[in-house]
Amino acid sequence: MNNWQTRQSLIDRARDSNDQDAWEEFCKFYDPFITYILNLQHTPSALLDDVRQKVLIKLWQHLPHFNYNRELGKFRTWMSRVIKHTLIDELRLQQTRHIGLQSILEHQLHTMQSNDTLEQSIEEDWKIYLTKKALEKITQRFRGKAMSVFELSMNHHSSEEIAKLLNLKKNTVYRLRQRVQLALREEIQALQQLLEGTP
Amino acid sequence: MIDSFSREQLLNLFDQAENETAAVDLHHQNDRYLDKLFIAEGSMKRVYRAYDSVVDRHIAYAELKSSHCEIKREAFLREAQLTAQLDHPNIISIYDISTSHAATPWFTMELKTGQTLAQQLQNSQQTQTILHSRPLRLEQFLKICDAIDYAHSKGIVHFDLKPENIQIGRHGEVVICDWGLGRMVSLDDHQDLIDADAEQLELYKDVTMTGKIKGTPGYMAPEQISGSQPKSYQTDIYALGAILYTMLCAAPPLSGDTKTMLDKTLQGDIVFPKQRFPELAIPESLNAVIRKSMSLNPCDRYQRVHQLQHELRQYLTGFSTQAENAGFLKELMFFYLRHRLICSISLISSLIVTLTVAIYQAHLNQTLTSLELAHERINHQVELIQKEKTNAQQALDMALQNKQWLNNLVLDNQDQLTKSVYDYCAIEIYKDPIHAMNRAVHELTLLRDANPSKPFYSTQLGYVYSIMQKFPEAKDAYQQHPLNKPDIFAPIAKMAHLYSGQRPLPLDGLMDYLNSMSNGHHPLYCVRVLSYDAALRNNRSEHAKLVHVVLKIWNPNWTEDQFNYQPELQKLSLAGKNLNQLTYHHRSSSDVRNWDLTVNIIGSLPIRELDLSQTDYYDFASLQHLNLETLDIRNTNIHRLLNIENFKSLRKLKLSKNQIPQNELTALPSQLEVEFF
Repeated sequence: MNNWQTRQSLIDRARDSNDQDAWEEFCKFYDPFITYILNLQHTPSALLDDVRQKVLIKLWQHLPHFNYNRELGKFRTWMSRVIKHTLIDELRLQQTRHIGLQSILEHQLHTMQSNDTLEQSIEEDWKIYLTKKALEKITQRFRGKAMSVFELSMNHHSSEEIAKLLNLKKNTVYRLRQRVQLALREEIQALQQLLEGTP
Repeated sequence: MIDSFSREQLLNLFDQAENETAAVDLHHQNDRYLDKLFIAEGSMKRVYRAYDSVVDRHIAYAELKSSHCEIKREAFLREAQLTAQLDHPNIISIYDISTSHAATPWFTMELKTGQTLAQQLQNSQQTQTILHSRPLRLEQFLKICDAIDYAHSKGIVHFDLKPENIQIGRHGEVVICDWGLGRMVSLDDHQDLIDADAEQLELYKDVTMTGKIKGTPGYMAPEQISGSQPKSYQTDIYALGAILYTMLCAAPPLSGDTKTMLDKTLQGDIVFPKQRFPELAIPESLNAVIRKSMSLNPCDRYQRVHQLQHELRQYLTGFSTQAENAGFLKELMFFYLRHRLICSISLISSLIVTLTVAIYQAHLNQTLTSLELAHERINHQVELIQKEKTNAQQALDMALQNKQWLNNLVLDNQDQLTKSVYDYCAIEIYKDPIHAMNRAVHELTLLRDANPSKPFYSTQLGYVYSIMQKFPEAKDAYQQHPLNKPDIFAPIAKMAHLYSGQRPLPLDGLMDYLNSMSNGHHPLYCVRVLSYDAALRNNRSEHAKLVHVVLKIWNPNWTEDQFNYQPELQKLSLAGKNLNQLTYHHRSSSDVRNWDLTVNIIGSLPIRELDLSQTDYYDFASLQHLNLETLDIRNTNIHRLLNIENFKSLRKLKLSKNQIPQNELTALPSQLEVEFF
């Protein structure tokens, strides 16, 4: 029922760095997210690919050493920090290389460094990213009115309204909504297990 | 669609998933439980009938009345959680409980259609109905007990048991509800409640102040009112007693205003069913059960619910109850009621059997008495015999001991004894034959007994017995170790056969014997036989004939023999040719046989005068041992008087003329008278 649930955590598979499939899968999930974050930070397109690559490699290299140690915090916290600092380092490096870009990079660096909540917002973005992935997945699964019921109830429609709107019985409304909620929850948890190694 | 969700909504969904809160649905509980319909109201909660849209059934929905009081919220949820721990067919099932932070705490439970026990009892007040429904009520009551026993086993006490809290379903199911006052007690110590926390006490105060008593007078135990005793399982047992009361009588134990009821409860002033409703004919067993359950002191009540149940089951199966303190007769009556026919048959059978047995017993007793007497007598005799046997055994033991000791002594002195025996036979027999032979027998017996394996001593004993003319004894002795000398044994056996026990033996017999023995037997034996016979036989003439026989044995060439003994003169006259041996020089020098003596063959006869004048005897010196006074040697071949000086007693010597040389005659002792013919 869930493709991800049975899979071994990517973090665990990264410990074996020769696992080419694992690397590819790793990239499949992380690359879009990292790209998304970098775009959010207005990373110059000339740097984007380099930074993306560097972040991915850093994460991949360090994953085996990430041992769920509570002191290190959650994987996503650590990842947020890696993304932030890799970007800052790259900006600094490029600053020295491209004199013409100096002022632009300077501004960006300043914005990033002054943003105390950058790591936190990256984390939130990661959460949203995972939730959206899960929603995509269950949208494929649920046909008919289930997703509509879910969507309407998310938008603060009462059960009676939904029943009326979709021409359903009240308890059918409830039942459908609950099934979607449950499925979504399972999806999110499965993704977390796969990508964050949450035990 | 996904894009229509706000950032917050998405984060929210993630957080919910991550925290795994089941609370998703709680946000929508207002949608889940629909069509609420008010059923009842207690001091703390309102109960609705509601439709559970999720599982599609009707349930009971309980809601806290005033949700602002934190203590009450706590107590309310506590009731639900407490009840939820009890999984029993006779206890209301809790389905779901709201979160503690819900605006209005609630819980759902199974919806019981039907009536409460209180309502049922209210509707059946007629005596006939009460009587008819008694078995049903007892069944229901046992189910109530089941539930409470179960709760107690989980350490939970109800504290508010009453007919109003007992639901009777349409199909007879009994369910205990309203565990609002219930509490956990320590399972380790069943008597004491875990101290109610301060809040709980607060709750009590509060409720009391509002004027509504927690619990219902009549069903409340005294300790619940006074607090004098710790509340415990027995508090529920009191209530159970009261419920049983109400169920059996369709009336509560107490009535009147609250104050009166509380006072009566405290004083234990309760009129029990049997007195209060005589028309209901409540059995003493049940009355007693109620009385015990409702004892003023918790210690006097049943300690556990199952004990109470057991008593009721005893009653239902026709046994007496413990509470009743039934005596033997009452027990008997219960027994009789349970088994009427069997009892009657048994009773008659018993009577017949008893009578038969009694008659037989009397008869038996008589027999028994005489048997006992006989037995006693026998015992006494057995005792005596036993005693004698013991004594005999002791004597025997001692004898055996002595014997052993004696045997050892004999063995130690065996050579000496053997020597004595030889001495007795070879020497002493001529001096004092009786004594000598007795001694020989005595000592040989000792030697034989000490050496049972040696044939020598028994043979020797046979030899001595034969000298003594004791032939049967001699035969026995020889037979102990059969000899390979039939020429000795056969004559003895013959004598034993012919002359058993006769002494002295007839002359003929003895003469025959000596003649038959002579062959191969030492002639000395014959002289010894003579010596003993002389002592044994008073008739000298007869004895002399025996001497004649023996002398002939010694002198086998003696012809024309004449032997004439005159006892009165003590004179022996011999005649014939070739008579040459009257004495025998017997010499031996071994360790045990050491002697040197001259045996006088005719010595057994007292002889003062010997007449040899008609013989050709030649050995003068041999005659010196005969102790003669008169000796006639005329015409003999004696020509010298050698050793004449040794003839101490000789007084007269008869000689022929010129028989002895003159010079010898002159040397003769002066006292000796010599006659010449």
